[in-house]
Amino acid sequence: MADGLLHLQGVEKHFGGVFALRGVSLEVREGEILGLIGPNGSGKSTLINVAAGYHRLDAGRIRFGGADITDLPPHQRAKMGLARTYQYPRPFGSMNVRDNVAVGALFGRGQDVGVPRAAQRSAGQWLELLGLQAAAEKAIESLTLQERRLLELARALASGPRIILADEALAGLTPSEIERVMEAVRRIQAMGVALLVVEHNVKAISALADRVVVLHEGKVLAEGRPGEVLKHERVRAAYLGGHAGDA
Amino acid sequence: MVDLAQAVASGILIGAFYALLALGLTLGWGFLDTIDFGHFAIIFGFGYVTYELATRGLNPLMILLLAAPVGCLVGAGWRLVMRALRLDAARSLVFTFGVLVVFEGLSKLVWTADYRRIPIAQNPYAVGALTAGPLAFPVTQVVSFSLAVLVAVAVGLILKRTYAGKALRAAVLDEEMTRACGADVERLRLMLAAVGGATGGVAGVLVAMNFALYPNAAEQWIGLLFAAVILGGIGNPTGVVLGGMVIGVGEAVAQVLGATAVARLVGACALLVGLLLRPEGLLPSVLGRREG
Amino acid sequence: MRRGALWAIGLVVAGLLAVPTAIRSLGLPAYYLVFLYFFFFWVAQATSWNVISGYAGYFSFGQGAFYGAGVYGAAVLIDRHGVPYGLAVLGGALAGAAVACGIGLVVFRLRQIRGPVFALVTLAVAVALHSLVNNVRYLDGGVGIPLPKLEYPWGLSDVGFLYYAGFLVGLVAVGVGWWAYRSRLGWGLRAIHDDERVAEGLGVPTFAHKMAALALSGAVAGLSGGLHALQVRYVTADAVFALRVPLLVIMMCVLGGRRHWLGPVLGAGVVHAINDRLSGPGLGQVSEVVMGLLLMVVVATLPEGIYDRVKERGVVAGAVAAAVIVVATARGTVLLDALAIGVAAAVILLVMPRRVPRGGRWGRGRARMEVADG
Repeated sequence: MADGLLHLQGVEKHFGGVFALRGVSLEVREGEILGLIGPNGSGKSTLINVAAGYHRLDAGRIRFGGADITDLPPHQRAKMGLARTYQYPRPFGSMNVRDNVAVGALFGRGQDVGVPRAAQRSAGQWLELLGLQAAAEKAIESLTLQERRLLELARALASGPRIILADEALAGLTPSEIERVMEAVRRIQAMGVALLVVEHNVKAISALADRVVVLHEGKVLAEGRPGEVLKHERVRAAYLGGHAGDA
Repeated sequence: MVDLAQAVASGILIGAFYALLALGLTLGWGFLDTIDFGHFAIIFGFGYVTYELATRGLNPLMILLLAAPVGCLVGAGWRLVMRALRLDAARSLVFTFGVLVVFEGLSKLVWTADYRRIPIAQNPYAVGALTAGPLAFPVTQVVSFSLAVLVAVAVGLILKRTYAGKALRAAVLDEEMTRACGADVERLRLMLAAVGGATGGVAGVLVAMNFALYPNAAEQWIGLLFAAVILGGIGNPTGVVLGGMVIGVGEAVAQVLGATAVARLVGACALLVGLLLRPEGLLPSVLGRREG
Repeated sequence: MRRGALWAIGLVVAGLLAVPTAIRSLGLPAYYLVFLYFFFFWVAQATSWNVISGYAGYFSFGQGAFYGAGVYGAAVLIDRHGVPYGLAVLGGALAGAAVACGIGLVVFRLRQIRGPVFALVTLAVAVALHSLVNNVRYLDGGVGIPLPKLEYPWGLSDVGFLYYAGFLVGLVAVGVGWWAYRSRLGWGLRAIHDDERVAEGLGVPTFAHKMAALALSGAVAGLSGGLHALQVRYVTADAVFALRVPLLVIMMCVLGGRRHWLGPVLGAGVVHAINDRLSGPGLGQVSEVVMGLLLMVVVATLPEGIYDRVKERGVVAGAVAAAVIVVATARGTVLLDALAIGVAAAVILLVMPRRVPRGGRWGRGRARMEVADG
């Protein structure tokens, strides 16, 4: 099992008495897109926060690129090549688009570490890759939701990641916008970056992901190829609220 | 042993006094998104006015009765000003810091930098004391203790039990939603500000009855009172009483143990230690869920 | 940096270095040197505050703690241990940095304290330090520390030496502010200012950056405070720890602008020029009232400070100030009075609204987002 890139083993996390994750084990392989789906409150966002280092674990270990990162703070994980985006885009409000991306280039794993000028230059390349070059000098307030979502990805990408944890990158977008963001995600994958994509939109995730993991009430319910998993009895039950399976 | 018991008792009384001064602060920070140095201007403004009236022969207890309604008006008026400016918590902190500095400058112009104290002849309550066995309790502090506990418990119950209180707490988390549910949030806040102003006014009268006044006096209290607010959990009226008492008892006991120098540090230390052990305060803060 | 900017800086430095000679040869009063010393002093203090509170957004009321550590660090070293004054001033810088690091370790490492609570904790530390100094004999004990009259090199007078030394300290401070703005540290601090959690997730070592900013802030404030002990000559806790220092420093940065290294310099110039004219005998209270009012107006109307406006209409404002100063002096007004009036006129021009002012940036929206996200 040691060939996976990001590896969660028996991860548990509870807030007060409420369990958000109860013994989740999953693996993201080098260069793949893993879809993470599940009903509201199933623990998807908690899982991202745990993997990125924002929550301390109650039990379990996390390995990344062969190293145990369970006790590392977020910025050290970022340096190792673990980047994330946010469900509600959180750009740096006082910087323009280019500088937002430059922060990623300046502090991440990329080669521009330490030189603001170089980071600003390479930010331009990342913006171009995701089709945001026209917005480079724009202030954050003037961006559309789609531009914000792409900016989240560009900023993560600029940090030179081996994996991006993308939290609902498609939520709230129109079908044509979704198409464009999905195109960007594929382009990122083509660079050899793995993605863990949390998504509500099952159709989109089926088209995008190599594999899918279904999370339900803090546990892994099913795992496999998108087509197979979605046909699974228990998955249907979880979504439709029935009691067909034994969860 | 009697010394220590007396120290604890006095500590509880003075702690409740701190709480009375800090009640308006904690309510303002918790529910009005205003960190209000202006509250100190209200307190010491009332203090100086009390000094003026009492030296002219008006009975301090009479002034105490008048202070509550006038304080209501001042608190509400101040809220309207702050509301019109639409400052968030951080900017309100700086803005009202300016207000306090202006107040200090003005009171230096009017009352000079000298200490002002109501003469004992006009203020017999400053020396009166109730006794219980070997313990003695100054009258003014008994008054402030009862008031602080009464107001804190009442406001606490209102916030917890009544519809208005629930609406105020809900508005901290999601103002739009609360409005959408039909609560007139702004009017409720105005009323809460009036209550805060009343406690400030009353506290000011009691300050003048207990202590000498001077323009920079507020600076002695700021650390102490905000320590009580944070220790007690921001926006928690019963918490601020508890926080005040922790500090009061700490000071009094340090004094008895002969560590006078330490006594003045108790507020600051309590704040630091409290933040380290329980940054969310001894009792829960209304902001806890929002900022968590 | 652009060549023009380098020339401008070189010109300013050369000009300021030449001031004492010019004043002596023109027979002007030495007070101008004292006036400029205080300008340098405030530039250093404001820049120190801005590194942590402006760039990183950790608003502090505790400037008095760092500054006071510097003043008392130097005074104790000179008076109790007979340390040469030059070393003692550096000792002041160390003391300031040490206090800053102490606060930082507690506040940043053990608990992630920020926002208004950070502001109040810094205030509590300053108050605690005040009473510590007042109650511990070794530090002061409530009687103050008089410093001996010192012999300065090259036959410099008190005023002359303090002018050059103050200029050097101010230059160092601005250098630190400039570096902390331009460098990787500055980028990290700005990211922390905007959204600390996101910054951390992108690889910004937030704890290390905040500690570095706080330590730099403490060192600069302590350095400038240490030198100030030589200026004051009789150090008392009540004067050192009064709210005046944090008030004026906050004023300067809020007025000048907290996002750029030039903001505190601008703010220090404006506030000092006006405040100096208000602090004559019997005017202290008036100065407090005016400064407090100014702070209120600026916070309410121009929360980002005048730096942005200077970029827009700086030339016009400068011209207006110059014209006012020339006209006023020609009509017989004392130069410093004319300067204060001219600066005030320029500030009024800069503060005038351009359109409907925006709401605050630190609103609740972000807090709500965090709840939704976590």
